[in-house]
Amino acid sequence: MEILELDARELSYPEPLERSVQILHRLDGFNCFHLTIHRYPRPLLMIAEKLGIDFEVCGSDEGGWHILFSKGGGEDLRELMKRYCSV
Amino acid sequence: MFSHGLSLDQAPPLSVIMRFFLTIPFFGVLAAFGILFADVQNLGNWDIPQTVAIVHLLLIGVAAMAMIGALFQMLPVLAGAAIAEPLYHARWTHLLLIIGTLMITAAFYFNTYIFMHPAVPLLIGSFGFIIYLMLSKLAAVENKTPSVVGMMVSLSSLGAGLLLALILTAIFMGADFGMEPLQLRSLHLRFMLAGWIGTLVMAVSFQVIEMFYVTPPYPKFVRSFFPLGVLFSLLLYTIAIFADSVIASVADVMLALLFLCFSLVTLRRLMQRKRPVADATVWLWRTAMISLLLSSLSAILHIVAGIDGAVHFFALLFGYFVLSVIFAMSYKIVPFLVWFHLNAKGVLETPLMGDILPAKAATLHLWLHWVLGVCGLFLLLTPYAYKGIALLLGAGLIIYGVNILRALKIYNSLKDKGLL
Repeated sequence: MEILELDARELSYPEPLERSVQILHRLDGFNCFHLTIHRYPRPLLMIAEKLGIDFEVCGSDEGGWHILFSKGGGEDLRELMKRYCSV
Repeated sequence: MFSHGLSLDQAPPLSVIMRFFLTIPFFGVLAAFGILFADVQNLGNWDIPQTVAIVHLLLIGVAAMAMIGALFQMLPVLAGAAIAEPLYHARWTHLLLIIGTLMITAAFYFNTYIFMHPAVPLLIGSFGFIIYLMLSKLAAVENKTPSVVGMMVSLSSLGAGLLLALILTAIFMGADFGMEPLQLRSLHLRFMLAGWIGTLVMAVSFQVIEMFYVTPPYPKFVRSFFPLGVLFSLLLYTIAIFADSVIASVADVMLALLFLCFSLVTLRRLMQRKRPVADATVWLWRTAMISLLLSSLSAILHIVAGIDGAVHFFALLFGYFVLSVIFAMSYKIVPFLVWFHLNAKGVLETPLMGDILPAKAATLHLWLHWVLGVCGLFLLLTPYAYKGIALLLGAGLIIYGVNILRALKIYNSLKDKGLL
């Protein structure tokens, strides 16, 4: 499975949201999107839910967040998230 | 790991916030007309009914509309406190606030005190319900962050200020509670300016300055103790004003110092942005914080050195601070909301936020806002500078209204093109 990566920790508002939504529209069931971000992006997750995109979230060791998005991800996302988070 | 607990239903419809924001230019222009046609010799006297009317047009019609609109949006997003049926509640409270504000300001401006009778229940009813609705939601939030605590202090202060307004109005109409109206007025304006507006700006800043401008977070001490410090100072003042004028002055200085320190910390945070690009909103925040700093210094000069004229600078600079924050926040919130709601509808042609409210439009308003500030300095020379202030205030708010309407027009033109 292809993983689209975006590290938004150094990006200033609103770039993390705008770039993430652009990537969400590229998800097709054969890829997923890994976002690393310094703040919990509640609006982005609301949009993802509305677009029917599954996601898993976990806190990073540096106080930020790892988020995995996919279309129809289900259990695979949880497995994949273990790469980034041990919890 | 978690993936649940979110719903787009938590975000209120765009029209909830926009109805409040679109009312801002209407009342702002009315206030500008009020200043333009008032006797300039009387405008420096804060007890003259015409001045009271203009102050309430700005503080209810502009500041409260902006803050209630923003709270409807921020409670679910920043505090995780969703409001049920937000559109229904926004509709009726907004309507009552408009009618109540028009009536109370007409009562003062035109000396038609018959309007005071219906205005009071309309304002108390709408504000009271908003306080109940939002405080009950915030009280139920499990994770009481400093922003949540700050919002609770702010709404509680609004409630106290409203109660004082109710008592003052009753005294004005002839009731006798055995209380001194001037002391009650002092309490009313402190709870409204420092408690309601000042603390809300603090609470919101703790979240948005770091989020919008990628700055380090506010120091823990500031976040944890400043809103509570304002509440403590207000309570101390409330007790002291009836007993000991020295302690009341100490409470006043404490309030001024808290806001002075807050403005310095915020200015420092804005200097620590990871991205050095400064858009119009960064400058509006800087303008707001410099105004708050000077306003706080003026208050201290008035209290400690007994300089009477300083109280006018305190009031005018505080007003300029409030306007600057409203413009700074609106120019971030409105494009975000248009972008957010279009994306939530699956509109693939959703423009970038920078195209929804172009930098050029906000910058034009910023320059006009600065000219307004410079015009205020001419009050040192002549009270006729109020005429210039009126024209610049009105022009600035018309530009603000056009900018907000332009963003709304983009939303309306694209909202039916969504895939969802």
